[in-house]
Amino acid sequence: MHLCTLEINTTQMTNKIKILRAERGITQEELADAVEVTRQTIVAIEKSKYVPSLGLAFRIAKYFDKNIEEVFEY
Amino acid sequence: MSYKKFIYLRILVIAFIAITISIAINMDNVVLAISAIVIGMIAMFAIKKNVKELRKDEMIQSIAGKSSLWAYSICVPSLALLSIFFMFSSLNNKDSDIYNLGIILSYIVLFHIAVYSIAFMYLRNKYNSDDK
Repeated sequence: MHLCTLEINTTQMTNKIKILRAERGITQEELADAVEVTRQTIVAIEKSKYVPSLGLAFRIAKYFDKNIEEVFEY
Repeated sequence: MSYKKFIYLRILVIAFIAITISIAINMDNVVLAISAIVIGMIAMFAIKKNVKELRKDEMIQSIAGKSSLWAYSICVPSLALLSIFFMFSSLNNKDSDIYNLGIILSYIVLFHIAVYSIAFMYLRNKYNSDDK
């Protein structure tokens, strides 16, 4: 069974979403609506508890007019 | 209809089905149980039709996938052990209900493993496919 391999090491992935949101005065709800996910997903990503898919990471970076590596760090 | 309202209504429909089916089981009424399921399905269809956007959140999908794997990993070995226990505990009397229950459980486990294997192979081939 592949239970162990499913555990993603989220501690290595950090992001600046909270800072970028604060700079622009955007709420989690607004960001969630813009990138088509729920607010809970944004909360989990901000707390580095969930690693977003590549597509979602690109959508978030695009929303902030940044490159993906400027928003997410590994 | 907003997504939040849809979530609340969905919970209401599930609660209605669960309560009605439990009442139907207590009353030994099959018609009531089937009616509850049909009404629930129609209600869900109507609700889904009216919701503006049915958001498929990737984190929820990821959690659902992991939950399914956990459920499989817990249920299959548990049922297999239970079936072995039932069969070995009534080896002297192979016509007993317990022995037959063990046999049925073992077939359920095998069916579960077969479905998992087929789904796994299908998805592996889908993602490994070289087709452009």
